[in-house]
Amino acid sequence: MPLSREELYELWAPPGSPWSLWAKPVLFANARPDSTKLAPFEAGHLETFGYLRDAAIVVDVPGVRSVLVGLALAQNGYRPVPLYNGAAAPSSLINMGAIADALAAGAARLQRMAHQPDARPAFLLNADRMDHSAGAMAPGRFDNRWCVVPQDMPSATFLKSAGINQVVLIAESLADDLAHVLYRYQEAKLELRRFAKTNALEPLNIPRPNAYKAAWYRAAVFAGLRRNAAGGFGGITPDPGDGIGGVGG
Amino acid sequence: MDVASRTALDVQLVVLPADPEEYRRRVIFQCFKWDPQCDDVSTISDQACLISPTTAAYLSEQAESLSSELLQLERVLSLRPDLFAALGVGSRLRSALAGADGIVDNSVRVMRFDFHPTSGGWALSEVNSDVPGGFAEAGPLPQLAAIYVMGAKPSGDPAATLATAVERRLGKSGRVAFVHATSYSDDRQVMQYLADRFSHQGFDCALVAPDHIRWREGRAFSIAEAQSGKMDAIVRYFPADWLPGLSPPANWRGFFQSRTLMCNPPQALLSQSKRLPLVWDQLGVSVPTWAALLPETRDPREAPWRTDSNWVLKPTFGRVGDGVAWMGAIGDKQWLQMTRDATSSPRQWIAQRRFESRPLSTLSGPRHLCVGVFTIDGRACGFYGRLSTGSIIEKHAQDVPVLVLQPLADTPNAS
Repeated sequence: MPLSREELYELWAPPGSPWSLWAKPVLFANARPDSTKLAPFEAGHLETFGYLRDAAIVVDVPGVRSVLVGLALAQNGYRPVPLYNGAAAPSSLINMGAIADALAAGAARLQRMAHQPDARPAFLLNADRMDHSAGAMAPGRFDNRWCVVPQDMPSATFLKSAGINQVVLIAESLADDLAHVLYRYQEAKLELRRFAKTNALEPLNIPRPNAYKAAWYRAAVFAGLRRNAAGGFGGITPDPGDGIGGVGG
Repeated sequence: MDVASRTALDVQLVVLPADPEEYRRRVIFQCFKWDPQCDDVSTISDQACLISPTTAAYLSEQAESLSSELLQLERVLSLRPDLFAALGVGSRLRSALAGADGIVDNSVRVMRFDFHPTSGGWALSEVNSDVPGGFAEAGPLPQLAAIYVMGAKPSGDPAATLATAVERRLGKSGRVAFVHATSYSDDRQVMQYLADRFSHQGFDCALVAPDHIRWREGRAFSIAEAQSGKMDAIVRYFPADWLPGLSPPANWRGFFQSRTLMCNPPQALLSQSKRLPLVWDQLGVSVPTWAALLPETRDPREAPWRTDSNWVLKPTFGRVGDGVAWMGAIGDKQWLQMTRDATSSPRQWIAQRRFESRPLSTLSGPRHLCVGVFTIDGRACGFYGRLSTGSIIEKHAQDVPVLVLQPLADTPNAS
C-alpha cells in the first residue's frame, strides 16, 4: 500500500531529528507517493566521503541527481533534508515533478537505513532551480523556478550549538543565491569546504556577495523571479515609481 | 471602561494539548502551511488564541464598519484621479486607474483588517484590501485546533465564504483563474488551498501567473498550457502595484478594464495605500470607525519621526511588516537607509503615531498578537491570528488559531 503524502514527508523529515524543521513541504504536498522509479546511481567518489561528525553538508547538484546524492550520503550516516521549494506542476519550467517522484521512490531505501538521532544534516537543493535556458521563455509555461534564501536554512548559531564546525558543499559551482547563505556561515567562523572531484575536501573561501544582507534582497530576488530575456532575475521587478513590492500578505 | 478597552483584555493564549510534531505535520498538510520555518523559528505556534464572544462580535462589527467606509472611500476616490499621486501611486498605475471604469460594482471584495490589543483597547494597524492572505490560517487551522480545546469553536471560514460569493455571481459552475506569482511557494500554498476549496464547490480551477492572462474585449483568457481558455472569474494574489512590471505581450492594463469577475479588482490599490488617511478630508466621506481605530497618520514630511520614537515609518505599499520601523528599533545603518528613502521619496512612506501593543503572557515569554479579521463583500467571516516576540508582526510571526469561547450552556460538558 503506498504511503500517504504525510507519511512520505515524515520519512524524509522524521520526528525527533532537529533538522526536520527545515525540510520544505511543498514538493511533498504535490508528490505522487506511489512512484517507485528511481534512476540508477553510482555513488562513485561519494563512497570515499565518509561521515564527518562535525559537518553539515549542502548538496547542490541538478535535478533528480540531488536526491540520489542525498540517499548516498544517507547511506554514510547523514540525515538528508530536502530543501526543494518549487512546486511540481504541469508544463513547468523546472522538472520538480521528477524530484518529487524520486523522493517518493527513494523513501523505501531511506526507510531501510537506521540513522542516529543526532545524524548530521545533508541539505538537498536542485542546482537547476533557476534555469534560464531559451526554452524557459515560452509563453504558457508554468514558471516554478525558485531560489534559496538565508531564512531557508539554520543559522550559524544553531549549527554551532549542534556541534557543527564546518559546512561542506557538494556542487559543480557555487550558485549566487547559495553564496548569500554560505557567506553568513563563513562570517560566523564556520569552516567552509568543498568536496572536489579529486575526492578531496578543499577549502572554500567565498567573496562577499552583491547586496549581501540588503533589506530588499529577498523581495528583489523573488519579485523578479520571472521570465527575463536577459537570462537573470528582474523581469517583473516592481518599478520603484509604481510602489514598493512585497509578497501578498 | 469602554467596550473597546474591555474587549482588548478579553483574550488569552493557551497551549494546545497536542503532540507538537504531529500537530505541525497536520498543519502543514491539512492547512496548507508550506512555509513552517523561517530561520531558526517555527512559524506554527503551539498555542491557540481564545477570545470571548463579546470580543469576536466587537472585532467583527468594527471590521464590517471599516469595510463599509472603505468601499465608500474607494468609490469617491476612483473619480478623483487628481488625488492618486498623493496616495503614492506611480504614473503608469495612475493612468491605468484613470482609464478604468471606476470600481466594478459586481466584483467580489475581500479585505483583512489587522487589530492589535493595546492597553487602551484594540488598535488597527492596516487593511489588506488588495491581496490579503491567511485564508487557511482562518479556516482549517482553527478547525484543527478546536479538536484540542474544549468549549471553544472556530468562527467563520473565509475560503468557503469567498467561494459562495463567487458562486452567487457565476452560478454553480465556471472557470476560475487563481493568479499568483508562481515562483513563490508561500503564495502558491494560498492559491492551491483556495483552488482546492473552489474545486470542491464545483468550479473548474486554473492556477496561473498574471502573464498567462490575455484579454479580448475585456474578457480574460488563460494561455497557460493545460489550463487555457476563457475564464469566468479571476481571484488575484498578485499585488496590483506589481502589475506594471508585466512584459508584453501580456497586457497588464487589461486587469484594470476587466469585464471578467474580479476578486479583488486592481482598483483596490487605492485603499491599499497607507496614505489613504491623508486624503480623507478631501473626499467628503464620513469615516468615524477609521478615525477612531487607526492611529494618527501623516506625510513623513509633517511628522517628527526623526527625533521622536513615538512615530513609526511604514512603506506606502509595504506588506508583512517589511520596512516598518521607528527610531531606535533597528540598526543605525538600516535606519539611515530608511531615513534617506523616506526623505527622497516621501510619497512612498507614511509616518504613523505608534501604539504600544500589549503583550500576552505565555510560558515562553510575552507574545504580541495580531488578529486579522476577514470581510467578504462587507461581512466579517473569520479571524487570522499571528504571534510575534516583538511588537512588529513580520515574517517570523507564528500562525496561531483564533477560537471563540462558547457560553457555558453550549459546551458539551457543561452541567
